Amino acid sequence: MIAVIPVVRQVTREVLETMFFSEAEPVACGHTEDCIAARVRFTGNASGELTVMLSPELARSLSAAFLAEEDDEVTAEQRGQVSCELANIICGAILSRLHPSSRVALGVPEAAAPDYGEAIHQCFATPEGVLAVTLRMG
Amino acid sequence: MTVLIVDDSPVMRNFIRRVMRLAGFGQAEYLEASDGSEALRCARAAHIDLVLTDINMPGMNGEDLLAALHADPALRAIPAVVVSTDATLDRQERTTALGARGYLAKPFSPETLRDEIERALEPRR
Repeated sequence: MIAVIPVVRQVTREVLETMFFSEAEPVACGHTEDCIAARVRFTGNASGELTVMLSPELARSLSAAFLAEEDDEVTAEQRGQVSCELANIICGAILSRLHPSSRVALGVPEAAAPDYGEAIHQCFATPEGVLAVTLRMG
Repeated sequence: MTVLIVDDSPVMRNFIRRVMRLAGFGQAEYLEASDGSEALRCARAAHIDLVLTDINMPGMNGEDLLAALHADPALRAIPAVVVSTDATLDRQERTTALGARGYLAKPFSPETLRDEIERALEPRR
């Protein structure tokens, strides 16, 4: 069986580097309520949900990098959309590595409440702020 | 060259268009659709040289779009490349069977995108 946490760490770093032009280092978690969260549910041979939580500064910075705009040009709507896309990409890449031969369907990513409960959970430090990833497998 | 980008996420369509330019397709014209139905209407109304489509979309999804393109003699020859978060073998085999000429799993770099598109645009033997 593939260990999940190393996959979460590797995928999140790859996604941030490749598509958001940022760097992420796994760190011990220090939670804050002040964050933007997005969730993707998945069903099939594996089921559950993945939630990403970003500090407002990181959400603004990643959105600007993703859209090739200045930080202060990014709207709140765009920050939400980019956060959803980040959750979507991380979730799809993790599931594809954990279950490469399975059939798993991702739902539509959506804004969500932060999820710091008992689950697979990893925080990352980036130059622009903190990112947390929570994965719940059904 | 006219490229049709099909994705329900406006920020993802924006990103793909930008990465296409970084990958050397800066001279191309870009059209966008938010689901398969809109993409089909677009493909029937304009000359399209390449379709880049997501799979997981509300309404007509990417697999249904590939099937519809393949079923239409006027649209069957348009090369289609899937751009998806789903990198499972099952999904790649299904979309290939539906006529996709390429498959790009997110995350991807401009170089990977260029290679996959150049392969999709090669004349078929």
